Amino acid sequence: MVDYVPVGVPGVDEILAGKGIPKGHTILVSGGPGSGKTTFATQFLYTGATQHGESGVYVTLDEDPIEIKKNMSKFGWDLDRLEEEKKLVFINVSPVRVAPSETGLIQLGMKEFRLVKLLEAIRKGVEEVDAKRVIVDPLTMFILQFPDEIERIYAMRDLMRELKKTGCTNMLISELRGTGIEREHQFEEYLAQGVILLRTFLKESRLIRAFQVEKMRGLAIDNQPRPYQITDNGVEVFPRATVYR
Amino acid sequence: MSSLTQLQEVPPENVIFLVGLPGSGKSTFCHQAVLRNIETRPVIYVTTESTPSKVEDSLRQKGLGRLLPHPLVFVDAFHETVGLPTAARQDTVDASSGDLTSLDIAISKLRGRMSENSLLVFDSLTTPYLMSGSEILRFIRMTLLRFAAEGNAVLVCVDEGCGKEEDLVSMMSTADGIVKIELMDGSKAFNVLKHPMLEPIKIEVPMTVRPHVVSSYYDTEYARREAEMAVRGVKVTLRPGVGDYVNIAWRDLIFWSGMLWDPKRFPMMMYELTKYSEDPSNYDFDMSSLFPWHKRCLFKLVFPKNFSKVKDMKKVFESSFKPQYTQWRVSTVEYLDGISKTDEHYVRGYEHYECWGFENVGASIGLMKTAMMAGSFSGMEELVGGVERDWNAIETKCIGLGDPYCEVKFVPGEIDELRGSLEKDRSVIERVHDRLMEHILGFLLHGKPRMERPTLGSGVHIHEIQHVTAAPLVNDRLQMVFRMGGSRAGKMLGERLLESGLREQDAVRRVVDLLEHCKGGKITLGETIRMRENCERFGIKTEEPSCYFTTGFLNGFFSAVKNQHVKETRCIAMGDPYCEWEFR
Repeated sequence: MVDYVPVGVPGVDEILAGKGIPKGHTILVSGGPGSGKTTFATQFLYTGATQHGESGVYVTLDEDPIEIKKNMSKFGWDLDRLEEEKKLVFINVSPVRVAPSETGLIQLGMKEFRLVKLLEAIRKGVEEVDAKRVIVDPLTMFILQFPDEIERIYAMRDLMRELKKTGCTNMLISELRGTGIEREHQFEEYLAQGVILLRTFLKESRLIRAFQVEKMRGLAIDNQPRPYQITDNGVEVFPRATVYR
Repeated sequence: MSSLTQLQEVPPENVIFLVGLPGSGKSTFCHQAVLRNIETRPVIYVTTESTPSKVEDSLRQKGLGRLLPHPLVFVDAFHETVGLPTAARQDTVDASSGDLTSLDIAISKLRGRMSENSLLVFDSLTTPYLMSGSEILRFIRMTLLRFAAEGNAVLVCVDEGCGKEEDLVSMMSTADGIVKIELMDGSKAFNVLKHPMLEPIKIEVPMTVRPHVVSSYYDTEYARREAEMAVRGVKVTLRPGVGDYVNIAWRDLIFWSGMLWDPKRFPMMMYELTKYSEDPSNYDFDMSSLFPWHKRCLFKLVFPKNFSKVKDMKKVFESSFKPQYTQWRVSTVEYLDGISKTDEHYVRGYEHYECWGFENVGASIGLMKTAMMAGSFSGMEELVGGVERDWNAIETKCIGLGDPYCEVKFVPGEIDELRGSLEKDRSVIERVHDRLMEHILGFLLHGKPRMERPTLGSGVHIHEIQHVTAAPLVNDRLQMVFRMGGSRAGKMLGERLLESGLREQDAVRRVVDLLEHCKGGKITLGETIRMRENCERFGIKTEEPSCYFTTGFLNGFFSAVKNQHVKETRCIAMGDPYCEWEFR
C-alpha cells in the first residue's frame, strides 16, 4: 500500500491522479528562471506544515534563507513563525554566503566532503523538526561541482539514496536548460522518480506558463502541459485547462 | 412557444454557433439570451469586443435587474487585448483575446465558482480566431466542447466572412447547432441550419413598431365592457370566476418587483408610459365609437371645454372621477377647491391603494394613478375642447411620507420636482420591500388579513393591475424587468417560508392560498401549474405566452423550494382557457 503526500499547490494533486507524490519519493522540479520553482517548493513545505502536519527542511545552496523568507512573505506565508514552531528548518549551504549557523555551514573543499557534509546537514535538519518533506534548491549548484559526467551521476545517485533513507518526500529543484517545447532531457530527469516541469514561453509578447508532470512513478498521471499562474496566493495550476500556442 | 425564445434557451451539453455579418445583431441576441437564462442558471459572459461595463449597461437597458436570481460573471478579454488597464470588478476575470490559454484559465476559474448547468456566452470568437489562427479549432474542442460536456450550455458568436472559409467550416463542424442571422429588407431571419432541439427552420422576425398604448392589447370585447363600466358606472363583472378585485398586496408585489430593476429609471418609464397610454387622444381606436350617440352627448355635457377653472374641475371630479374611483376602490377622492387655482388643481385621496400599507417609508408612493390622471386630463381636454395641453401630476402629500392621506397637484406643462419625486433611493426600495414581505408573510404564516382598508377593503379593480402588467407589452425591456423582479420576489418568499420551518409542500400550499386569497387567479396544481383568469393577462391579447411576472414569480419560488424551474406553455392572452406552466 503506497501512501501519497499531497502537494497542496492548487490543481497539482488533481493532475497527480487526485493523490499526490508517492511518499518517500524524490522528484525533480525543473524550470527556467522566474518560472516559480522556489515558490512552488516553498508552497509544498508551507501547506505540508500548516495543513497536513508535516514538517519540512529547506536546503538552500544558493539563495540566503532571509531572502527566501522575504520573497515568500508576499504570498502571506510566515516562514519565520513556522521555524519558531519547529515546523520548518532552513539549511543554508550556500557556498557564497559563509556564515556560522546551528545546522552547519559547508566550506569549499573536497567534493566527497561536500556531499557527506550536505547529507549530514539534511539528516540533522530532518531529525531536528521530525521532517517529512525536504527541498534541495537548487540542485544545479550541487551538480556543477562535478565537471565529469560520470562523477555527476554517481553523486546524484548517492544523494538520492541517502535522501530515501530519511523516509521523507523530496523535491530537488533544478534549472531547466532549454525552455521551449522541444528540448533535450537532462540526466537528472532519468534518475528522479518523478519530474515536474515549469515551463514558460512567449506568444506574441505574452508569457505563457505551462506546468507538466513528465513522469511520476507509481501513478497514472495526466502528463499533458497545463497552464499555471503565479498569483497573490502562490502557484495555481489549472488542471482542466489547455495550453494553447 | 416562439422558436426564437427556444433558440435563446441553449440546451445543456450543447455548443451553438451564431453566425452573421458584423452588425446583424449577434450581440443583441446574446444579451437576450442572458436575460432569458439568468432566471434559471448562472451565466458566464466572455466579451472580446466590448468592456464588461458596456455589456452590462446594455443588459440593464434591456431589463437586467440589480439583484439577480443567479450569478452573472464576465471574462474581460477586451481591456488586455487592446492594451488598456483592466477595470477591477469583482464579477470579472481577466483574459486576453490573443492568448487562448488565458481564456481557458479564466473559464477554468469560473467553472469552479459556478454550479453545473451554466450558460457560457462567447461574444465573439472572431478576435481570438484572427489572433491565433487555426489553433482556435483546438480551443473550440478542448475548452468549449469540454465545458459543454460537463453539463453546461455554450453560445458562441462568430462573424461571417472572417478569416479563411475552411476554418469557418471546421469551426461549424464541431458545433451542435448553427444559427445564421440573415438580414433582409425590413426584416431579419434566424436561419436554423442545425439544432439539437429544433428542426431546420427559418424564423423571420419582422422589424415591427410596437403600439404605444396599453389599450391596443386589450381584447375588444373586454375593452368595450370595461369602458362601458367606466363611463356608465354600471356594475359589470369582467372576471366571472374570481371577480374583478385583486388584493393590493399582489399588485404591490408586481409593481415593486419592477422597481428592483432600476429605482430611478423604472418609475420614470412607468409614469411616461402610463400617462401616454391613458391619454385617449393617443388611442388607436375612437373610444367614443363604443357608445351610442346619446351617451356621447352626455359625455359632452359633463365635461367643460377646458380644464382650467376650479369650479369646472370640481364638477368633473364630483360627477366623473369620484364615483369611478370609489367603484374601482382606488381611493376616496375629494377635489380641494379651497387651495386649487386656475390651472392648478389639488385632489385629496383617502385610502389610496398604491400607498396603503407603506406608512412612513420616506417617499411618496403613488405613481400610476397620478400618471393615469395626467394622461386622461391631457387627452380629454383635447377631445372635448380642442385645446392641446400636456398635463402632469405630482403627489404633494402621501401616506408614504407620513401624511394621513395623499394629495395630488395637477398642472398643465412641466413640473420641475416631478423627476425627483418619482425616482426612489435604494433605501426606500428596501423599506418598501421589507414592509411588503412583512405583509405577505403575515398572511402566509399567521393568516393575517392583508391590506384591509376601513372603507374600501383590500381589493382594487383589475383595471388598475393591468396598467402595470400590460406595460411590458408596449415596452419590450419591461418584459425582463418583470420576469426578473418576479423571480426575485418568488425566490425571496420561498426562502423565507423554508426558513420559517415550513416543509416544501406546505410552502407550496401556502403560496397557492396566497394567490387565491389575493384573487390573482385560480390555481390548480398537478403535473403542471394551471391558472385561470390570471389578473396579469385577463382581457389581453398577445401572440405568445406573456405572463412575465407570474412566470418569473413561479420560477423563483419553485427554484427556491423545490429546485425546479417552470416554463409557460399556455396563456389566456393567446386564447387558451388557462395559463399553464410545465416543470422542467
